[in-house]
Amino acid sequence: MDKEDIKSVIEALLFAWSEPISIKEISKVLSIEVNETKKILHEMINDYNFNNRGIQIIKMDDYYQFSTRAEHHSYINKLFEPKDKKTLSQAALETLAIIAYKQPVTKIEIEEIRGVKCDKALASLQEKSLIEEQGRLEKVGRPIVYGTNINFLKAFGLTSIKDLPHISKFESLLEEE
Amino acid sequence: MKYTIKTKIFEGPFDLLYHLIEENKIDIYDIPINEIIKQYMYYIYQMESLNLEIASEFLLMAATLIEIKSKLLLPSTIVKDSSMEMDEIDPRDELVKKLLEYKKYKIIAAEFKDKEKYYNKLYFKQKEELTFSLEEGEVEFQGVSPQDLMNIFKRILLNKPQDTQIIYSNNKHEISKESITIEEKTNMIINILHSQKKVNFNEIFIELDNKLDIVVSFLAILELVKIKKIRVFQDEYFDNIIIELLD
Repeated sequence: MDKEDIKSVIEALLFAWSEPISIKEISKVLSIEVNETKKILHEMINDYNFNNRGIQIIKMDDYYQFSTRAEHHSYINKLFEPKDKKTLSQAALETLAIIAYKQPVTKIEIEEIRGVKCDKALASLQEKSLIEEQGRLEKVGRPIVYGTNINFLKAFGLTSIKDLPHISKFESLLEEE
Repeated sequence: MKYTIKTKIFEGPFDLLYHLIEENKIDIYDIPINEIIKQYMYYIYQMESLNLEIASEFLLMAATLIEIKSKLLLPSTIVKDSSMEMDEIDPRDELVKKLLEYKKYKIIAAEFKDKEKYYNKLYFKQKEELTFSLEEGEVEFQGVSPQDLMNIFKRILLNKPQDTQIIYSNNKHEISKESITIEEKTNMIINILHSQKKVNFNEIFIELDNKLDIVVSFLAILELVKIKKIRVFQDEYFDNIIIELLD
């Protein structure tokens, strides 16, 4: 298969599966190397952006998915019943910020920084499937450690955790004040 | 300084402290501890008078602030070495460090909020059940259209003599309590097919005398086709419809 054929198949897979699909899965279906799939997918992402297609391909770590563009939201919205998309509370956002930058992190460590209990915030974030329990710390009490998942990447437009603006950016902002 | 207490509910002591610092344009690296305590406690009293429950963390912070104040009041215990001077440890340092750390994540949270709003505008598709047509060589209904099935089923139903309709008891429209499960019928059909690999569609229904039986048997046949245990086919138009067991 030449590259254009492969791109065509990947397009079909992304459409048919609809949900995030991993590079491994795509490579398996096409019987090609993971690295080649990666290259081609990134080319496709650029193609779609460059040609101003109404659909874009988003990347979340090793997962890819079709989505519409933010700029078309007002049009698409007209087709649907107005839906109140609940946004996160301030407490949840702060908790999420800490988890995103300090993962894997325990509840106690989060509470140390925020100065308050964060049970409700943690529950809310888990319910929205933005964070997950990623094991336990091997010390007294064996506390649960939390981290973000691909839904977090999707909700905040990140291609991977490395995409987060470096913490030093915020530290220097503090000094300016 | 003005006491500006807003009706804002604070998430926690850091939240409140930070608010006080900003409101009063205090230099965080040189917090006037007395003033801060005064304003902080004023807020606590406000909450009390409004009968709001004060989270324990607020009280802990109040105690911490007072501890810091008392440390500042004590004469500094500097040990001056003959060769070098040791810096005093400012009792406010720990608090300032914590406040800055907290503020950092507050800024990040604000940025997250913007991002969330923006990326909420994206639409995604859910996975749907997509059924595909069968692979070659595995035709379940060969030469049999849904219409054919319906016709033959209608014929079977109508051919049954009147007195084998659904049993009514005493003119009250009660359906007979005997229940027949699809599972029972699928087992029955499989049994029949075990003894004779192919069977005429009609034969399944010959023994049955009540409508419920007939309907459930029909559903059982469809179910067995769905799970690929049998196939239903017709060699030629208007021929008998045959049911065959699949391996």
